[in-house]
Amino acid sequence: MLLELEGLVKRYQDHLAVDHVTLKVKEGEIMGLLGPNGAGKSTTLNMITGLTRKDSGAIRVFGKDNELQGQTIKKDIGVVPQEIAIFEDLTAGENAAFFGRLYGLRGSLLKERVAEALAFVGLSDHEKQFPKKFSGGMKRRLNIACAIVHKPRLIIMDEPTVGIDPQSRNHILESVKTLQKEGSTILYTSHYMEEVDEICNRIAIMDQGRIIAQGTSQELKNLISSEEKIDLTLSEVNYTLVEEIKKLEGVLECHLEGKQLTVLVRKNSGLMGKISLIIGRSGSDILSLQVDRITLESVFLTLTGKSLRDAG
Amino acid sequence: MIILQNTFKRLLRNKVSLLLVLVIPPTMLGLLFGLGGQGMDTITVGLVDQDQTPLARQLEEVLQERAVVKPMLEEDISGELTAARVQMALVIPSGFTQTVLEGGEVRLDSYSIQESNLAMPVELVVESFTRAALNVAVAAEGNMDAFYRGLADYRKGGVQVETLMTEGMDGDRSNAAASAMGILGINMMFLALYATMHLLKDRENRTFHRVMTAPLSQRSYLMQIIGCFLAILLIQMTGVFLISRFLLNLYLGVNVLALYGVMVVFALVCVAFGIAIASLVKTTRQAGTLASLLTTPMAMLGGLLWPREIMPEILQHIGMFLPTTWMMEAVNKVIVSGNFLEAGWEMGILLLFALVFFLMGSWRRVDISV
Ligand SMILES: Nc1ncnc2c1ncn2[C@@H]1O[C@H](COP(=O)(O)OP(=O)(O)O)[C@@H](O)[C@H]1O
Ligand SMILES: [Mg+2]
Repeated sequence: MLLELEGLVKRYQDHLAVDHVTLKVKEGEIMGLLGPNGAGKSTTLNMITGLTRKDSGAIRVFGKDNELQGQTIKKDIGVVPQEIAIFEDLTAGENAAFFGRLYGLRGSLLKERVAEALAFVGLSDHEKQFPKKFSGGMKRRLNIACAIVHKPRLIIMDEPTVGIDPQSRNHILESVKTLQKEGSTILYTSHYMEEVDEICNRIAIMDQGRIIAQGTSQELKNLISSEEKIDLTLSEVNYTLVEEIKKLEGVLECHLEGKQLTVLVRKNSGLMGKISLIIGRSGSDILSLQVDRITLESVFLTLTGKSLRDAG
Repeated sequence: MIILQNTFKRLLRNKVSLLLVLVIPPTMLGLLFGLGGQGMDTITVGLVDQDQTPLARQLEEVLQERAVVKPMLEEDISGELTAARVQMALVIPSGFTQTVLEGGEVRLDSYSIQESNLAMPVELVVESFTRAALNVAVAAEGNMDAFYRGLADYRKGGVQVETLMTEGMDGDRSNAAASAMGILGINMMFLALYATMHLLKDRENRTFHRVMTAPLSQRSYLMQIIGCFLAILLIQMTGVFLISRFLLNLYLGVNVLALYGVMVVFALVCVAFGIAIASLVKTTRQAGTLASLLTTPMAMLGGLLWPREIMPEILQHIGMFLPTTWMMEAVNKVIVSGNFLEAGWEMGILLLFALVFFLMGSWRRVDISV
């Protein structure tokens, strides 16, 4: 195991931010930590990187205890913080070089690695520019470049795609996969289930400080394979409608978001007729209907009773 | 050393800190003391010689060593003074030599526009010369030849006159040196606090936290930051010393190096003060507020802007609790004595302040992320 968390606990006053988290990450995999805002993802990562002190539990990285051998471990970790943490008064190249030097790189090797890291995130042409003029996506990419100059064994990424354009986002997702191919192990945190589903080998779903399920994407979906998700777009919305549908035998979860109604039902329960009847009675029309394959979103919905987007 | 270098580079790239290091202190000093310097050679003395004796001419020669002497008539005095062609006028009345020879009391009338700093040393020169002449006259017992021979010997030796002069003038020049140090002190405090804000900005934008995920201890980080701040304050100080000495021609006490030493210790206090503030507050705004609440009173009560003696006694007592007060005390002592050790007590107190501030500032955070 490259990274092992065991019974990790962090308490802020009487609030349990991280509640007995146990997690194992194998060498060479991309491990996804999926959860809504406030789930405790960043707190967990901060305990691994030594920024936050754990209350109890154990953290072992590369087989070493992070409290006893913190400085040794840190040399081989690259951290992409949730906030864009770069120096605005240093150029992109100087930023990358500074972090490279912090990890012991010097001279021609440093130059080489800086160029490599910037090329990797597609910022080679901006090496001499100050990040002040960068777009959000470019800053995010520089944020990543600074973490990989020293080619770490373990890369910890805390929501690296928050608030950026789709193009930069795709670029980042692709580069995470490339990093894996080049031999790095990645702990990837996000509250976007699509991207976690797309790039991660294994996923841990986190909510309210706890890991509520973990496994491969397929394993997680199998947890609720006996279910079906129906997405409906309605002309009118009406909350008694949700209550009525919830009362139907075989409906596991019903959830309204704008005019989008999501219903989770037991497979082959033949409820579609009853549901459309209720909708018709409420004076609303069904504008579109889709019976979906199971997504991580519905896994989360089933396990927590709330939507990933709404939680937190 | 990576943190030190990086912080240093960034501070020198910052316009405000660059202004505080290189531009503001010299400008303030230049405005206060005037370019070209304040020395005796710049004063022009109008001399009205109504006596026209060898003694009067000797007095003129003595004056010429210290000032530009412009012979003139008594009726021109007020005109020349108001036109600022002379800064001071001196009248040697007829019968001056006679009175001296007879051992009588002599007074030369002198006029100047304001109680200028410049006039005083000249008056001292005149006074010490006439006093010497009187002494020689008494010894010569009315013998003209003996009198002039004695006077010539006296001037050749010159020692006594010189010491008298330096002692008298020092009071004035030392005050100028002390005000220069006061101004430097204010600028040092501002620079240290500005650098501190820079430090806090790194916490706000989370680069500090990111740095702490690298293999680098908090202690090493703090030591490097302290080193960097100290370096930048030393650059500022050295600049001020060089400019004061060579551009503004300011007198910086008997021993410039000793004075420099005092200011190095004060630099330590300033840096420690900044580090302490950084650990007490969270945001740059809080730091800014605290800094402006503290520095101005510290400068005023510490005597950086004016002599402490002119303040009410109660304020002088309050000042005892401020490092600025002890810095100025040390400065005043060292300017006069030239001996670093003369101010040992004050330096001890300053180092104690630095120590306390450093301890406050190096309070280790267990949870860096908070
Ligand atoms: N320094 C702190 N003090 C108090 N509570 C905190 C602190 N940091 C995080 N929390 C709380 O801990 C919980 C988990 O936060 P976080 O780990 O940031 O979640 P996530 O990264 O999953 O969005 C949240 O409820 C948050 O309010
Ligand atoms: Mg987070």
